[in-house]
Amino acid sequence: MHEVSLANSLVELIEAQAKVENFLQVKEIIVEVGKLSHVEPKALSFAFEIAKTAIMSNAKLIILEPCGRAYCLSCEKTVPIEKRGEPCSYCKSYQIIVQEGVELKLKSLEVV
Amino acid sequence: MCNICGCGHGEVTMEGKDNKKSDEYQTYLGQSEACFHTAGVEPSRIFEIEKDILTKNKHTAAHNRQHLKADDILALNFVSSPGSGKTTLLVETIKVLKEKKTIAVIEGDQQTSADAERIRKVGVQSLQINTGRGCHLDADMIHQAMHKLDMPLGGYLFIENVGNLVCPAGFDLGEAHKVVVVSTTEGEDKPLKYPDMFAASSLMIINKKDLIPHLNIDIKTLKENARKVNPHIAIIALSAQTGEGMDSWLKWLDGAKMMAQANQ
Repeated sequence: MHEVSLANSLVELIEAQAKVENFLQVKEIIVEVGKLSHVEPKALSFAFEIAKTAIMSNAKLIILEPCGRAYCLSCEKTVPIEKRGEPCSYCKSYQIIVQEGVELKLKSLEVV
Repeated sequence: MCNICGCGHGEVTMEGKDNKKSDEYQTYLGQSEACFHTAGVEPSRIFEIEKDILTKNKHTAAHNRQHLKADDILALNFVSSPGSGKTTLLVETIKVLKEKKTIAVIEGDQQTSADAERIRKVGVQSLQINTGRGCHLDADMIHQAMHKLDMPLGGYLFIENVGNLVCPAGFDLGEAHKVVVVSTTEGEDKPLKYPDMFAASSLMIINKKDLIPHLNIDIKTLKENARKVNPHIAIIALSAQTGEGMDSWLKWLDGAKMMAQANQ
């Protein structure tokens, strides 16, 4: 449900950018939602459809989902992880520190 | 620059760069001396933004944090599912601390001011935020609340978030720590079912310890599950109702306060 707040924040960011850069229509919005972030991409897309304003009414929202990566304190490797609560895929230790996959970012805008 | 309409795409100097995807427009660029660009039709541009979607919330949270630091206040953000006993824990904590420390409480719920009233009954100022349909508190709500409260200089600001183990995980309020409260009646798998909240918290309080004999819960597994998600999480089991284990919690609070002061 917090995806509604996030969609509103996304719309605010785009509107602020439109004021600075003087564009009138957004064609494409690229957003990064890490696989370990607290956001459900489908819910964000749905919420964005409700939150969007006139300048982005025809925009295509593309959500990239970077994979999770963590540093394992036990085997001292950077390892991929699918979800939180999983052990290191090499040594099965849970002493891992998540480093990537928590992104929640507006990456780029294509505008006219 | 386009010679016909003077659209000046080549003069864009800010963060934007040419739209590499548009072959059509690349052709125009290649023919800049005599381009066929129709006046009034804007070519597209791409802006690399690379900004956190929660930028505004993070900015306000940082501002709150500065205020709290300047006033030497330790702020804790209590998160849990509904019914874990957060308010009871706060009431019992305040009863012990209120003679020695200044305390203020911000209560977040979708509706009613029942929790703030419970806090006020024990003699501490409390402000209720009703989020309506909202599922979490955000940094701006806390900022506004901080301006309405008499700030507890040198003391504690306890923020009781909306009972929800999902949404409040992503919203920094400017607190020093998130404290996740899980009660023994909730079973041992909550940390694995709702990992974001346990990953974001510094301390897990296992409340309703007095009920363990009546329940089929394995506390050791609950602790292991929390540490699978967050290897550094501190864990205290207590019963706010009977007072068992409250000493450890009060010591943790003291320690957190000292750490915050040492980091000034």
